Amino acid sequence: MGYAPNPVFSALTHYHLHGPVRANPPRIAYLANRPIDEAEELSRLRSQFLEGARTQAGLLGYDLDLLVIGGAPYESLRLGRHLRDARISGIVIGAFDPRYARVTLDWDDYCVVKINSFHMEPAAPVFASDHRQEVRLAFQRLRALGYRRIGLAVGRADEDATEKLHTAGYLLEQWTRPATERLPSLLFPYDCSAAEAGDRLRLWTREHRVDAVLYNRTGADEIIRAAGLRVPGDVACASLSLLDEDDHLAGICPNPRLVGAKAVSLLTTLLKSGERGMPQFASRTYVKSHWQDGASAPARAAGAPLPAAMAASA
Amino acid sequence: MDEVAALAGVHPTTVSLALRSHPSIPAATRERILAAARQVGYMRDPLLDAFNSHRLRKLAMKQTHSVAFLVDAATSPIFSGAPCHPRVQEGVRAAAETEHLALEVFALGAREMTPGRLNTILLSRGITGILLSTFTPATLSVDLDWDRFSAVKIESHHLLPPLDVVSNDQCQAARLGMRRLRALGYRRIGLATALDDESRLESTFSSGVLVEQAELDERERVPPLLFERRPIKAVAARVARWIKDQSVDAVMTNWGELFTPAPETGGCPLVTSTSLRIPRDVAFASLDVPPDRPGLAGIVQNHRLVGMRALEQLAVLVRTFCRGAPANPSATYIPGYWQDGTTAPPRG
Repeated sequence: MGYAPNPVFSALTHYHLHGPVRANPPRIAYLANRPIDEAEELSRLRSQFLEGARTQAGLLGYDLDLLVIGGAPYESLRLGRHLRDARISGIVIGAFDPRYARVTLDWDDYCVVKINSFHMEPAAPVFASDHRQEVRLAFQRLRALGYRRIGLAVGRADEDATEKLHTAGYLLEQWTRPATERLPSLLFPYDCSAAEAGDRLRLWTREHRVDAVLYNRTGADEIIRAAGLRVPGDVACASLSLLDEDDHLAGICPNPRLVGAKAVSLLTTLLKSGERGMPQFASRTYVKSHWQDGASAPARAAGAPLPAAMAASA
Repeated sequence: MDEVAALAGVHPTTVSLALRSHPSIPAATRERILAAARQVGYMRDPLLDAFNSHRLRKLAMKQTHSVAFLVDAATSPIFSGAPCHPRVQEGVRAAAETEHLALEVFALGAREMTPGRLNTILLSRGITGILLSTFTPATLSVDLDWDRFSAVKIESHHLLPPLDVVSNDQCQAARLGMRRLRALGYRRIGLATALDDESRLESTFSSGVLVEQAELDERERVPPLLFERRPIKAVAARVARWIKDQSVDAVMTNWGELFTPAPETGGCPLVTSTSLRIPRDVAFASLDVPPDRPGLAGIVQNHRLVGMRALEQLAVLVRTFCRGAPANPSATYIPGYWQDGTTAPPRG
């Protein structure tokens, strides 16, 4: 082929290899408003968002700094000073819990994306799991398994943080069903203890003869125990947020790492083009999930009797 | 250059573009980078300049990556003869220019352009990125060798394979429309749209209406009307019946053909082919206000931005060699905004 090394390029390479030390990579801030404790189930979701964001940041040549903010008024001031000192102009707002602190910065100085956190300023592009699709998929799968009185039980805090996406999916599926199969959803209030949640769950399943529950609440085992219900003997259960592969549990497997990665991908695109401040029309990107069969929602045979608890109240 | 990038808080690539006065870099950003360069004492590397100059002179022609923009020939009746939404295409072209990508348009279903033939053409031309425009619900899948391509769809949620999709946010449009109409005093707000539109859009209009209605008194909930696609007279008659049966005081629809403006009726605007006067008999809010209708109330969708964001996403996939249908596809929604108009005035 007649290839010959380029003498200019060889000289340049030699010069660069022995030249100045490479500068540190640019940094992105990942803000959380609660510590991410791996031992806490809800934190596992948030830690997977963070993991995906950090991995993607590394692939794209950035370092990612986790910053946990508290509730004090001066926190935003301190945060702003820290970001300036660290020369950080890209921020991921990482799944802020509506029950905890918010943050106020001069957003025009930053490129910002959010994971969940619909409920709060700034109006930045948002990344989330496709909760509407998740509820619809789970509802359709449960119907295919033979369940006919499918109820949705979610936390009000989760609905507020995602602009009622679970409810949107649930209403859409119910709308196609006869009126006799439409059940009101159960919304657990803010700061609802497991005992109180269990009481609410028990009353709701009995009143509406629920044969399958779609839930996203963490600590579901404790709530179901508090309700005195057996799964699937009294009621089938399908989780809307299965983070581990578990044959025992039926439900939806989201991909929070991919949500985190996509958030960082857009953020780095914004940083490259210098698009600081809030866009006029902030997009929402939802990552689809998939269904997993499990023993908590087995197939019901046609004509099978109602679960025991439901039969007793029917 | 890395030190300049760290100081300015940008990627080294951005520094390179700014130093070359590339048009994609905003002026304020360029100034900030130049200031950082002065601060660190950055100087262009003469050896690198020499090498690049030498290299570019040697290149016979500039290499430009091409992506395919795949349109559905069957959608031309929907877009008034155009193969896709004109503003979407405008956005796609603008983003392609910014991303330095050449755009090649292919119309599936036209002039014997079958998926098999298209597949051969794309591979032989070395095109690895495909942007799919809106496809009619009649087309359920496009059979290409997807593992060899990066691809993004525009709307067309129904189309297989399941790819990343960029769309207007119809759920947000419906929710915003309902809230604005309620703020204007309307209390029996109904959604009218085609069954196959909802199929193509994953029922997002309906989901928005249902979520808003869930907060209302039962008496204010109007069941959405999903009609079969038929000639406009038949559709209008169906809509008129529904308006009467459900006592609708404000109709929201993405069907612009249902609105006949005053100059064409010789009097006041009407629901097409009916005697229903707008806004006297029923207020009318479009869920997709066209740019040439300033008096029409409703949601203005960001079609151009949809085209831009779709092409930008495709560019990222192409450059990071992400090919095939993803295991977890994503959907990106671009919101619209409300426009007041005489077709939905405040109610006394």
